[in-house]
Amino acid sequence: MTAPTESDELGKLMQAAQGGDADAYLDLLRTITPRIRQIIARQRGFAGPETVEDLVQDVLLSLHAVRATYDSQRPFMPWLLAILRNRLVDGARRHGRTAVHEVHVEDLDVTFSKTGTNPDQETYRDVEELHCAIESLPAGQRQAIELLKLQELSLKEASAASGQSVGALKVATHRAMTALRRALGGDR
Amino acid sequence: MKTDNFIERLARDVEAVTPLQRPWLRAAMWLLGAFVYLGALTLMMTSSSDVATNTTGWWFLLPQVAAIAVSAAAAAAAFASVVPGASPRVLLWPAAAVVVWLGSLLIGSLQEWQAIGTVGLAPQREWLCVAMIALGGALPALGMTLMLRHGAPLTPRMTTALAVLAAAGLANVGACVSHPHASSAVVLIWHGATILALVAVSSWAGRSVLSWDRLRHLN
Repeated sequence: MTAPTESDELGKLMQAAQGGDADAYLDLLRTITPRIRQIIARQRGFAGPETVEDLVQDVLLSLHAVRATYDSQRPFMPWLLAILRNRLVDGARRHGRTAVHEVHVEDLDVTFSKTGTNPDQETYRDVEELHCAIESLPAGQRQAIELLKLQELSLKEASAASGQSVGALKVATHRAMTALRRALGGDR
Repeated sequence: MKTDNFIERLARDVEAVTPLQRPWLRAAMWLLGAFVYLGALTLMMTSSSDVATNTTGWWFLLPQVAAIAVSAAAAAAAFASVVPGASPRVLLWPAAAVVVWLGSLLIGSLQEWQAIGTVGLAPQREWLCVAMIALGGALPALGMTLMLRHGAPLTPRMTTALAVLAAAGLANVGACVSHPHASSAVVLIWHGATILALVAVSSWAGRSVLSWDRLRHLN
């Protein structure tokens, strides 16, 4: 009579698990998990520990889902290895599919680089003309531009300096910018 | 989640399951049901005296026996393909049976061509065969698919292709028996093309029908 192999022992645990024995199932899963991890780590040498653990859990979940397909008359290990191989191939296929569509970008622009899409950063190269346009603005708007845009004060500081409220400064700045764009031909 | 916790959770939630029967036994059960259904369907479309008239001659019977063998072998292979660790040699049987089936039709066609001088490709009645194979085989194919969904979707495309080959192969016998055909070439081309198209479509849809994701939702 031959001694029972380890695969037979695992098969018995699986048979008990099919009958709903949670302890036998826990024993089985704890025994096979290190081997599954070892095989995956060997075959996916490039993968990090987290990826390996994800694959281990994927195999365990698959095994759990199809535990009814185990035939207690047959050895356990070929059954387990067939599931493991299948999940690894599927995982590689999935990874290949997603990798094809991935674009690695280190430093992505927040907006498009065209000037038209970045109105805050627009520049005007004819300084003299710009100066004349500012001079032609109504007093309140001119003061708002000088304080907020040329001297780069905060709204609070500009309000204290001018005696205008923050709200009035915002409105004056907005109207001034619109008038300047129109005057300098930028409103096209 | 850590793997140790994951294992404990799987074990805690484990429920008793009924182990699947052996593939050949499941195939036999399916074949019996499909025989009864397609037999009844064929008799509804024709009379038993017509069946007797249509089913005479060696070159009629040989392709039908081969087609039944294709169906049985494909069914067994389909059920084996959802069992992890099953021998891949089981796939050789449907392949061999298909060769015998197509070979018998081809030889029959050549003999008719030598005897009559024409292969008689009149299409007038063959759309009925296409409908019989596609619609008659649909219910047995659906039944087998439901049975296969209890297994492991290791090779979903091949599994669904084998399932449809089994169902369409058997429905093809019903179509051959239900009314006389002009020649073996008609059967070879019309029935063969219909089965090939159905197998191709089912293979294409395999991953949608049998998937690991669906199984996990069930567990």
